[in-house]
Amino acid sequence: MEVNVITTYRCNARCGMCSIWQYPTRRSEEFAPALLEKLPDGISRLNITGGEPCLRSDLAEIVDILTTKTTRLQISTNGYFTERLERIGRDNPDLEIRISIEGLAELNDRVRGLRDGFDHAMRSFTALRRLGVGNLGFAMTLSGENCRELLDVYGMCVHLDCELANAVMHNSFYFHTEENKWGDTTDVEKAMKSFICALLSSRRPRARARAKDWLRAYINLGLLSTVQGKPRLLACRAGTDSVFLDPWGRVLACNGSAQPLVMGDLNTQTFGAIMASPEAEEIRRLVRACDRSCWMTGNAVPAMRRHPLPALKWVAAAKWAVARGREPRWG
Amino acid sequence: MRITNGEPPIRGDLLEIVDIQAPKAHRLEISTNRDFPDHLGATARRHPDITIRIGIEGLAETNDSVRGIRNGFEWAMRSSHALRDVGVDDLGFAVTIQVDNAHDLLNLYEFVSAEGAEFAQAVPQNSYCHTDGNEIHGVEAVQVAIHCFIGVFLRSLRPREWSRAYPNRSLVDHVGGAGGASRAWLRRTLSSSLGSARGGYAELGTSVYASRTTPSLAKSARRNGQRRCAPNRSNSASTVAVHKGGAY
Repeated sequence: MEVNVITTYRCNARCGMCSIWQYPTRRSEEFAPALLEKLPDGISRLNITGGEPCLRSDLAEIVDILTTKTTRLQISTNGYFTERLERIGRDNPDLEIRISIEGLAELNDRVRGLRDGFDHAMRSFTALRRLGVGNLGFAMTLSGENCRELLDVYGMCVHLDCELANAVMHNSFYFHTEENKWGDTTDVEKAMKSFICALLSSRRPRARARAKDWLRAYINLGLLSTVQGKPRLLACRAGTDSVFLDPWGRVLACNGSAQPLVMGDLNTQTFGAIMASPEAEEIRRLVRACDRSCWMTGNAVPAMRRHPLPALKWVAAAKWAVARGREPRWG
Repeated sequence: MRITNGEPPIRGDLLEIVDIQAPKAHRLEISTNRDFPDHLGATARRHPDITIRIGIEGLAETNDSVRGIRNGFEWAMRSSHALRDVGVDDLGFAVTIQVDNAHDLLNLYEFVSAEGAEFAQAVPQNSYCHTDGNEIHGVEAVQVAIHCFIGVFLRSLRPREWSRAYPNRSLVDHVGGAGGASRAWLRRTLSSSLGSARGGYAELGTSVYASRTTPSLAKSARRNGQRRCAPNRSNSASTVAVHKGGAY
């Protein structure tokens, strides 16, 4: 089970592909950290996200509670609030932190609407590395606007020896938009295919990092399918293998639906009761019938863990093809 | 042997120069500013054992402001990655320490170190930059920045970094001149700032911003319509003219 905790819908960024910042939650209505005590122990991966989680003044308290629930706690941030991240990182060096950037300096700052956002992200990165936070990385949301810098960002991550998680722009209730349109996908597809080939021929020094790149190539194959309007590579198990907790304390199946798929309310129910409830079962039925074909880290990685064979077979065949100077099979 | 600026790759015959000079030196260094034109790429591919130092003044905003080059930081990064990819191992960045970038230097140093590149420092100088008007503003801030570097170098686990501390010590004296911080002030500052890396940053930031009493070099450059090596003539007490080169 993976849990994504949406701590707030407040955000200091002004991204073009996400309108969360136009619909901020009020501080008073956001869940209190104590609510998170109701999450079960032994969660395989917990992601703290937003909005911008650093805007919550009680983020340290949230982290303290969630570290007892999982061995893999991740924070997704735009890296603007370096000092707040430092305070968290100093006490929790085992955290995974993913800093969102959309390209190198100029493009990032334009797409995210953050003045000097890239510099702030870099300062946070160096500060966290200095503090010994081992699992650091960047996250990039691919669109027609920034696809040309995907390989530049990947190159930077390789040389910094850190992770690069990427997604493609989506429409959903979570992003508060249905206006993202791909239009002509030629450039995006070309950039993604180049990126997938670069991942398959990864030159990272550590074997584990190379292997992660190869599997990330498969994730990107799924993203390519999304951009091309094809069906998902693997069945979505949102609501079963992964859930979201929204800022009001409601448990949702995913963040990619047009309307929130509410399974229950953690304020009034226990987590176990929510997952076993008839409402949750009805939501899972809706997920099985869902035709949105979204492919996000939150629902792709659990699906790959559940069914690893297709990914491993594709990676093996694709690496063989790339080694012989050919293109992999694109699905 | 150092092949240096203006901007060496602008010469179309850079490869020819390096072909001739490479056998004559154990270590051949090219100083460049940002671009990775074909000339430098071709040179690096044929001579991957050369040393390359890319001029940079801070993270993106600071660098582009001080250098007057749009997206200069991005291009420096791209150049660095491309040079690594063609096999250049001795790759680094060179920074000129001044009040405009003193607040960003340790971040830049750590970013460069995380990329596995070398980091060299200098201070503004007159002479072949075709000016005698360069002055160092906010001398105290620059001195504290250099001292922070000294602390970082001495704490490094890489012996090569230790040897960097000494020439930086000379930079402190060189920058100081008549308008510099007193030794006693520096000792007080450093005893509180260099105890830990974080303390160093906090103290550095405070000192730098407190000393920003003079028009910045970059603003002055823009006002004068100049792009680089812009002289800045201010009579502030914390400004000292540089009469001889201070680079190492």
